[in-house]
Amino acid sequence: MKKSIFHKAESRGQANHGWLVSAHTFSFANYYDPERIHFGALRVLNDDSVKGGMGFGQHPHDNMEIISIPLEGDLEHKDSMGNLAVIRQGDIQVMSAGTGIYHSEYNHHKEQAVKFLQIWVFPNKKNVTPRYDQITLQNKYSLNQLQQILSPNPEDEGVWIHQDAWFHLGHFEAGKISHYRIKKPGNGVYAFVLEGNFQIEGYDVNRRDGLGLWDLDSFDLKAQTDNSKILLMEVPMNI
Amino acid sequence: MKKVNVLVVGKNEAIVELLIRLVNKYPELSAQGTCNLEEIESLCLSSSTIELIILSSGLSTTQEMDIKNIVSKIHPKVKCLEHFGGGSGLLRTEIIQALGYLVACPE
Repeated sequence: MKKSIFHKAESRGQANHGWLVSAHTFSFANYYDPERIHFGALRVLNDDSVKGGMGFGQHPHDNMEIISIPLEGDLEHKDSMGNLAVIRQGDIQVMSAGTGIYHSEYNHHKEQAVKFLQIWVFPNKKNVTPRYDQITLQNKYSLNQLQQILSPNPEDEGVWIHQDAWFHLGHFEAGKISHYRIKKPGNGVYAFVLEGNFQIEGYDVNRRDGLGLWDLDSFDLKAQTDNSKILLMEVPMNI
Repeated sequence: MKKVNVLVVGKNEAIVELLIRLVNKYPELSAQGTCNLEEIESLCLSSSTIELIILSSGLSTTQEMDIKNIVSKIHPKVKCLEHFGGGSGLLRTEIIQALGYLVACPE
Protein backbone atom coordinates (compact mmCIF):
# COMPACT_ATOMS: atom_id res chain seq x y z
CA MET A 1 0.00 0.00 0.00
CA LYS A 2 1.32 3.40 -1.00
CA LYS A 3 2.91 5.45 1.79
CA SER A 4 3.74 9.13 1.87
CA ILE A 5 5.22 11.88 4.00
CA PHE A 6 4.77 15.57 3.31
CA HIS A 7 7.14 18.29 4.50
CA LYS A 8 6.01 21.88 4.09
CA ALA A 9 8.80 24.30 3.17
CA GLU A 10 8.36 26.34 6.35
CA SER A 11 8.67 23.24 8.54
CA ARG A 12 12.34 22.81 7.59
CA GLY A 13 15.11 23.56 10.08
CA GLN A 14 16.48 27.07 9.61
CA ALA A 15 20.08 28.14 10.08
CA ASN A 16 21.38 31.69 9.66
CA HIS A 17 25.12 32.13 10.04
CA GLY A 18 25.18 35.53 8.35
CA TRP A 19 27.28 34.43 5.40
CA LEU A 20 25.20 31.26 5.03
CA VAL A 21 21.45 30.87 5.23
CA SER A 22 20.26 27.30 5.00
CA ALA A 23 17.01 25.37 5.24
CA HIS A 24 17.44 21.75 6.29
CA THR A 25 14.78 19.26 5.21
CA PHE A 26 16.37 16.65 7.49
CA SER A 27 18.24 16.93 10.81
CA PHE A 28 21.59 18.59 10.21
CA ALA A 29 24.18 20.32 12.38
CA ASN A 30 22.28 21.94 15.27
CA TYR A 31 18.84 21.20 13.81
CA TYR A 32 17.51 17.98 15.28
CA ASP A 33 14.06 16.51 14.79
CA PRO A 34 13.75 12.80 15.57
CA GLU A 35 10.91 12.56 13.04
CA ARG A 36 13.10 13.97 10.29
CA ILE A 37 16.40 12.13 10.14
CA HIS A 38 16.35 10.76 6.59
CA PHE A 39 14.20 9.47 3.76
CA GLY A 40 15.69 6.07 3.03
CA ALA A 41 19.23 6.61 1.80
CA LEU A 42 18.60 10.33 1.36
CA ARG A 43 20.16 11.85 4.47
CA VAL A 44 20.70 15.54 3.73
CA LEU A 45 18.74 18.03 1.65
CA ASN A 46 20.05 21.51 2.39
CA ASP A 47 18.80 24.57 0.55
CA ASP A 48 21.81 26.89 0.89
CA SER A 49 22.39 30.55 0.09
CA VAL A 50 25.96 31.85 0.46
CA LYS A 51 26.77 35.57 0.41
CA GLY A 52 29.12 37.00 -2.20
CA GLY A 53 32.80 36.28 -1.59
CA MET A 54 32.00 33.81 1.21
CA GLY A 55 31.91 30.05 1.41
CA PHE A 56 32.78 26.81 3.12
CA GLY A 57 36.51 26.67 3.88
CA GLN A 58 38.48 23.48 3.42
CA HIS A 59 36.85 20.65 5.38
CA PRO A 60 36.77 16.86 5.17
CA HIS A 61 34.10 14.33 4.32
CA ASP A 62 34.00 10.56 4.35
CA ASN A 63 31.62 7.79 3.39
CA MET A 64 28.94 9.90 1.76
CA GLU A 65 27.76 10.58 -1.78
CA ILE A 66 27.48 14.37 -2.02
CA ILE A 67 25.61 16.05 -4.84
CA SER A 68 25.48 19.81 -5.37
CA ILE A 69 23.01 21.48 -7.70
CA PRO A 70 23.48 25.23 -8.26
CA LEU A 71 20.19 27.10 -8.59
CA GLU A 72 21.50 30.68 -8.93
CA GLY A 73 25.03 32.02 -9.19
CA ASP A 74 28.33 30.17 -9.44
CA LEU A 75 30.14 27.98 -6.95
CA GLU A 76 33.92 27.56 -6.89
CA HIS A 77 35.12 24.09 -5.93
CA LYS A 78 38.60 23.04 -4.85
CA ASP A 79 39.54 19.64 -3.41
CA SER A 80 42.38 17.48 -2.15
CA MET A 81 42.43 15.48 -5.41
CA GLY A 82 43.56 18.57 -7.30
CA ASN A 83 40.21 19.48 -8.81
CA LEU A 84 39.51 23.17 -9.27
CA ALA A 85 36.24 24.04 -10.95
CA VAL A 86 33.35 26.47 -11.12
CA ILE A 87 29.87 24.98 -11.21
CA ARG A 88 26.96 26.97 -12.57
CA GLN A 89 23.21 26.64 -12.94
CA GLY A 90 22.68 23.66 -15.24
CA ASP A 91 25.69 21.83 -13.83
CA ILE A 92 25.62 18.91 -11.41
CA GLN A 93 28.54 18.19 -9.08
CA VAL A 94 29.13 14.86 -7.37
CA MET A 95 31.68 13.66 -4.83
CA SER A 96 32.08 10.17 -3.45
CA ALA A 97 33.82 10.96 -0.17
CA GLY A 98 34.75 7.32 0.57
CA THR A 99 37.89 7.03 2.70
CA GLY A 100 38.19 10.81 2.92
CA ILE A 101 38.29 13.94 0.83
CA TYR A 102 38.98 17.61 1.63
CA HIS A 103 37.22 20.34 -0.26
CA SER A 104 36.15 23.97 -0.18
CA GLU A 105 33.14 25.54 -1.85
CA TYR A 106 33.12 29.32 -2.29
CA ASN A 107 30.84 31.76 -3.96
CA HIS A 108 32.65 32.59 -7.19
CA HIS A 109 31.29 36.17 -7.14
CA LYS A 110 31.98 38.99 -4.73
CA GLU A 111 28.49 40.55 -4.72
CA GLN A 112 25.83 38.11 -5.89
CA ALA A 113 24.69 35.28 -3.59
CA VAL A 114 25.03 31.71 -4.77
CA LYS A 115 22.07 29.43 -4.11
CA PHE A 116 22.40 25.69 -4.37
CA LEU A 117 21.09 22.38 -3.09
CA GLN A 118 23.44 20.22 -1.09
CA ILE A 119 22.29 16.60 -1.10
CA TRP A 120 23.90 13.72 0.80
CA VAL A 121 23.05 10.10 0.04
CA PHE A 122 24.32 7.18 2.13
CA PRO A 123 26.63 5.04 -0.04
CA ASN A 124 25.94 1.34 -0.66
CA LYS A 125 29.62 0.61 -0.13
CA LYS A 126 31.89 2.08 2.54
CA ASN A 127 35.49 3.24 2.15
CA VAL A 128 35.50 3.59 -1.63
CA THR A 129 38.25 5.56 -3.38
CA PRO A 130 37.24 9.22 -3.32
CA ARG A 131 36.14 10.69 -6.63
CA TYR A 132 34.86 13.97 -8.03
CA ASP A 133 32.86 14.68 -11.15
CA GLN A 134 30.74 17.42 -12.62
CA ILE A 135 28.63 17.64 -15.73
CA THR A 136 26.78 20.29 -17.67
CA LEU A 137 23.32 19.07 -18.60
CA GLN A 138 23.00 18.83 -22.37
CA ASN A 139 19.28 19.59 -22.47
CA LYS A 140 19.09 21.52 -19.26
CA TYR A 141 15.56 21.75 -17.99
CA SER A 142 14.02 20.25 -21.14
CA LEU A 143 10.50 21.56 -21.12
CA ASN A 144 7.68 19.28 -19.99
CA GLN A 145 9.79 16.19 -19.45
CA LEU A 146 11.87 14.71 -16.70
CA GLN A 147 15.59 14.63 -17.35
CA GLN A 148 17.78 12.08 -15.59
CA ILE A 149 20.70 13.77 -13.85
CA LEU A 150 22.01 10.92 -11.67
CA SER A 151 22.04 7.14 -11.63
CA PRO A 152 24.11 4.23 -10.26
CA ASN A 153 25.59 3.57 -13.71
CA PRO A 154 28.67 5.38 -15.07
CA GLU A 155 27.45 4.74 -18.65
CA ASP A 156 23.99 6.16 -18.02
CA GLU A 157 22.80 9.74 -18.40
CA GLY A 158 23.98 12.26 -15.78
CA VAL A 159 26.45 11.74 -12.96
CA TRP A 160 26.69 8.47 -11.07
CA ILE A 161 27.02 7.53 -7.39
CA HIS A 162 27.65 4.47 -5.24
CA GLN A 163 23.97 3.88 -4.54
CA ASP A 164 20.91 2.54 -6.35
CA ALA A 165 19.56 6.05 -6.75
CA TRP A 166 18.16 7.99 -9.69
CA PHE A 167 17.58 11.75 -9.74
CA HIS A 168 15.53 13.65 -12.32
CA LEU A 169 14.92 17.34 -12.93
CA GLY A 170 11.84 18.65 -14.68
CA HIS A 171 10.65 22.03 -15.94
CA PHE A 172 6.96 22.14 -16.77
CA GLU A 173 4.27 24.43 -18.13
CA ALA A 174 0.91 24.67 -16.36
CA GLY A 175 -1.30 21.64 -16.89
CA LYS A 176 1.44 19.32 -18.15
CA ILE A 177 1.53 15.84 -16.64
CA SER A 178 4.47 13.50 -16.33
CA HIS A 179 4.47 9.87 -15.30
CA TYR A 180 7.30 8.52 -13.14
CA ARG A 181 7.96 4.80 -12.83
CA ILE A 182 10.14 3.55 -9.96
CA LYS A 183 13.41 2.20 -11.37
CA LYS A 184 14.10 -0.35 -8.67
CA PRO A 185 11.41 -2.16 -6.67
CA GLY A 186 11.49 -1.12 -3.02
CA ASN A 187 12.84 2.34 -3.74
CA GLY A 188 11.00 5.49 -2.73
CA VAL A 189 10.96 8.94 -4.30
CA TYR A 190 11.42 12.26 -2.55
CA ALA A 191 9.94 15.04 -4.70
CA PHE A 192 11.25 18.54 -3.98
CA VAL A 193 9.63 21.48 -5.73
CA LEU A 194 12.13 24.11 -6.86
CA GLU A 195 9.65 26.55 -8.35
CA GLY A 196 5.90 26.74 -8.85
CA ASN A 197 3.41 24.13 -7.77
CA PHE A 198 2.64 20.49 -8.53
CA GLN A 199 -0.20 18.08 -7.81
CA ILE A 200 1.25 14.71 -6.82
CA GLU A 201 -0.78 11.79 -5.49
CA GLY A 202 -3.43 14.17 -4.10
CA TYR A 203 -0.94 16.54 -2.50
CA ASP A 204 -0.61 20.20 -3.44
CA VAL A 205 3.17 20.56 -3.39
CA ASN A 206 4.42 24.15 -3.45
CA ARG A 207 7.83 25.81 -3.80
CA ARG A 208 10.40 24.12 -1.54
CA ASP A 209 7.86 21.61 -0.15
CA GLY A 210 8.98 18.00 -0.10
CA LEU A 211 6.87 14.88 -0.63
CA GLY A 212 8.21 11.40 0.05
CA LEU A 213 6.43 8.45 -1.62
CA TRP A 214 7.17 4.76 -1.20
CA ASP A 215 5.58 1.34 -1.53
CA LEU A 216 4.32 2.24 -5.00
CA ASP A 217 5.35 1.44 -8.58
CA SER A 218 4.67 4.74 -10.27
CA PHE A 219 2.91 8.07 -9.91
CA ASP A 220 1.87 11.13 -11.90
CA LEU A 221 2.85 14.70 -11.29
CA LYS A 222 0.97 17.65 -12.74
CA ALA A 223 2.32 21.19 -12.94
CA GLN A 224 -0.20 23.73 -11.68
CA THR A 225 1.62 26.86 -12.84
CA ASP A 226 3.96 27.83 -15.66
CA ASN A 227 7.68 27.62 -14.96
CA SER A 228 7.21 24.86 -12.37
CA LYS A 229 10.43 23.00 -11.60
CA ILE A 230 10.91 19.83 -9.63
CA LEU A 231 13.67 17.52 -8.46
CA LEU A 232 12.81 13.83 -7.99
CA MET A 233 15.21 11.76 -5.89
CA GLU A 234 14.65 8.00 -6.05
CA VAL A 235 16.56 6.19 -3.32
CA PRO A 236 16.52 2.81 -1.55
CA MET A 237 14.26 2.86 1.51
CA ASN A 238 16.12 0.10 3.34
CA ILE A 239 19.61 1.12 4.39
CA MET B 1 29.74 18.49 35.28
CA LYS B 2 30.56 14.82 34.75
CA LYS B 3 31.37 14.38 31.09
CA VAL B 4 30.56 11.45 28.84
CA ASN B 5 33.81 9.92 27.61
CA VAL B 6 33.93 9.29 23.88
CA LEU B 7 36.47 7.27 21.90
CA VAL B 8 36.93 8.13 18.22
CA VAL B 9 38.56 5.49 16.01
CA GLY B 10 39.26 5.65 12.28
CA LYS B 11 42.00 5.32 9.70
CA ASN B 12 42.04 8.88 8.38
CA GLU B 13 44.12 10.84 10.87
CA ALA B 14 42.88 14.28 9.83
CA ILE B 15 39.24 13.24 10.12
CA VAL B 16 39.79 11.55 13.49
CA GLU B 17 41.49 14.72 14.79
CA LEU B 18 38.64 16.84 13.47
CA LEU B 19 36.02 14.60 15.08
CA ILE B 20 37.85 14.79 18.43
CA ARG B 21 37.84 18.61 18.18
CA LEU B 22 34.16 18.66 17.22
CA VAL B 23 33.10 16.28 20.01
CA ASN B 24 35.06 18.30 22.57
CA LYS B 25 32.98 21.37 21.66
CA TYR B 26 29.95 19.67 23.24
CA PRO B 27 29.66 20.72 26.91
CA GLU B 28 28.68 17.20 28.05
CA LEU B 29 31.28 15.24 26.06
CA SER B 30 35.00 14.58 26.28
CA ALA B 31 36.75 12.82 23.40
CA GLN B 32 40.00 11.08 22.76
CA GLY B 33 40.86 9.01 19.74
CA THR B 34 43.32 7.05 17.70
CA CYS B 35 44.09 5.71 14.24
CA ASN B 36 46.16 2.93 15.73
CA LEU B 37 44.01 -0.08 16.60
CA GLU B 38 46.79 -1.45 18.81
CA GLU B 39 46.33 1.53 21.14
CA ILE B 40 42.65 0.96 21.84
CA GLU B 41 43.07 -1.43 24.75
CA SER B 42 45.55 0.82 26.56
CA LEU B 43 43.33 3.86 25.96
CA CYS B 44 40.40 1.94 27.47
CA LEU B 45 42.40 0.82 30.47
CA SER B 46 43.67 4.31 31.19
CA SER B 47 40.24 5.96 30.87
CA SER B 48 37.37 6.24 33.23
CA THR B 49 34.20 4.75 31.76
CA ILE B 50 33.96 5.14 27.99
CA GLU B 51 30.30 5.46 27.08
CA LEU B 52 30.47 5.98 23.33
CA ILE B 53 32.65 4.80 20.45
CA ILE B 54 32.56 6.77 17.21
CA LEU B 55 33.70 4.65 14.28
CA SER B 56 35.08 6.86 11.55
CA SER B 57 36.21 5.99 8.02
CA GLY B 58 38.60 3.37 6.66
CA LEU B 59 37.70 0.53 9.04
CA SER B 60 36.65 -2.87 7.75
CA THR B 61 33.59 -4.57 9.20
CA THR B 62 35.89 -7.00 11.02
CA GLN B 63 37.93 -4.16 12.49
CA GLU B 64 34.75 -2.41 13.63
CA MET B 65 33.63 -5.61 15.37
CA ASP B 66 37.04 -6.05 16.97
CA ILE B 67 37.01 -2.48 18.29
CA LYS B 68 33.54 -2.93 19.79
CA ASN B 69 34.65 -6.19 21.43
CA ILE B 70 37.84 -4.75 22.89
CA VAL B 71 36.12 -1.69 24.31
CA SER B 72 33.03 -3.47 25.61
CA LYS B 73 35.14 -6.00 27.54
CA ILE B 74 36.54 -3.12 29.59
CA HIS B 75 33.55 -0.78 29.42
CA PRO B 76 30.51 -3.09 29.09
CA LYS B 77 27.90 -0.33 28.77
CA VAL B 78 29.61 1.37 25.85
CA LYS B 79 27.44 2.39 22.89
CA CYS B 80 28.71 2.55 19.37
CA LEU B 81 27.96 4.67 16.35
CA GLU B 82 29.11 4.54 12.76
CA HIS B 83 29.86 8.08 11.74
CA PHE B 84 29.05 9.16 8.19
CA GLY B 85 30.00 12.33 6.42
CA GLY B 86 33.30 13.09 8.12
CA GLY B 87 32.36 16.38 9.76
CA SER B 88 29.85 18.19 11.93
CA GLY B 89 26.78 17.83 9.68
CA LEU B 90 25.46 14.54 11.01
CA LEU B 91 27.44 14.27 14.23
CA ARG B 92 24.94 15.72 16.71
CA THR B 93 22.07 13.59 15.40
CA GLU B 94 24.26 10.47 15.47
CA ILE B 95 25.34 11.17 19.08
CA ILE B 96 21.77 11.84 20.24
CA GLN B 97 20.55 8.64 18.60
CA ALA B 98 23.38 6.56 20.05
CA LEU B 99 23.17 7.92 23.60
CA GLY B 100 19.36 8.03 23.59
CA TYR B 101 19.11 11.55 24.98
CA LEU B 102 19.45 15.11 23.75
CA VAL B 103 22.89 16.70 23.97
CA ALA B 104 23.23 20.48 23.93
CA CYS B 105 24.48 22.21 20.80
CA PRO B 106 28.28 22.57 20.58
CA GLU B 107 29.87 25.73 22.01
